[in-house]
Amino acid sequence: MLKVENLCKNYEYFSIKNVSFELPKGYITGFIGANGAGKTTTLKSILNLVHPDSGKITIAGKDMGVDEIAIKREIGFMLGPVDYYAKSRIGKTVGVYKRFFPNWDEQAYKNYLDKFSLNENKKICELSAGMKVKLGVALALSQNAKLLILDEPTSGLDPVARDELLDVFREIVESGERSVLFSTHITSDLEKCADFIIFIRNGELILNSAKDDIMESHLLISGRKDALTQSLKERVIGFKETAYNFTALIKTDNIIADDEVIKEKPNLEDIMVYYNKEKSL
Amino acid sequence: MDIVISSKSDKPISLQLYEQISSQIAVGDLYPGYSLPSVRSLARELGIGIVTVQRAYEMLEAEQFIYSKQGKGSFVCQFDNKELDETKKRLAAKKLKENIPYYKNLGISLEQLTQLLKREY
Repeated sequence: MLKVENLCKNYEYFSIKNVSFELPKGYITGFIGANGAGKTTTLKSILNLVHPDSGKITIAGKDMGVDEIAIKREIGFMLGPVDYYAKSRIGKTVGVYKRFFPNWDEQAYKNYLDKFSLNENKKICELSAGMKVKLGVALALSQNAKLLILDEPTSGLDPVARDELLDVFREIVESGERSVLFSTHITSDLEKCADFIIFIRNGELILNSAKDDIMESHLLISGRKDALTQSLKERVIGFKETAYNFTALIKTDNIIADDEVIKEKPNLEDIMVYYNKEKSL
Repeated sequence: MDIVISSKSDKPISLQLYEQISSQIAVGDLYPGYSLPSVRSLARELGIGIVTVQRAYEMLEAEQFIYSKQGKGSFVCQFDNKELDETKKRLAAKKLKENIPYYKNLGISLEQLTQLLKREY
């Protein structure tokens, strides 16, 4: 569906370094990374809103550099809450907005308004932060797009609204024809619905696999301080040490019978945290 | 078909699915020819990943509990009584095996374990 090859973008103090990944058709892919890791820059590069220094983006076999307009009709995207023309009513703003999208699906739009309890007569400045996000998502979803790219669509939403939105994503991919790529800090949302995870750190791709593989190939271990031997230190991905004990993330394959540790199944948050604590050897 | 998933369990969700479906097949709740829901609709209903359900179905297929027909879906395989018996034993053995390291760790001998099993069964 979407193929990103060797994406590079250099800024004075930050760069995206050779990021490549592929999004299979019909699945939900979660995009994670700490603040400033390059998530938004990567998403904007995919959309050609940031011009990459090098690399190639293909969507459904079409090259972004060649068929930009045709490709953009296949993508619904939301890069932030709706916060423009704040004094206008939703209905008026959307009336203008939808004219840019030839595949606009009015019925779907009405359904999402309903689902998200959005009232078209309200002014945008009267919406809560969460409602502005919901409106942005509704606009992205109503373009009848084959690929949805959403930057933090669940941030600012309450747990009930997040749960509803995740269900909307599952509904979208159910037919197998449409794909969703979304970035988030709320890793539990991905545990509930993502099929694939892309994890970047400092502009570099760290993990890119099926969520199930990532979850099953890592273990969270903890134990007494003296159990953190030099040999174990070399095998872990990252660790935290206190005066009394230690906790570490390790690849399941790197654990040996001699290790005197308690093993636990990590969640995605643990994985993200400990990769960011990668030891310097 | 009954599926109860725990996301808090240490057991991967795909394995939970596999265990529940295979045991329902073994006891005959899911009978030969039974048409299983599609991977995507089951994922949607259960609120879990599509890949997770795919993995469970692949395991079930590899162990010949189910077979899939291109474009038609997945169905429970035909078994005769003897095969069904073997399957039940296989599932039971698998479950027992999971706990053996625990007993060994406690220093329980095979004899002691057999006695315990007789008493508790």
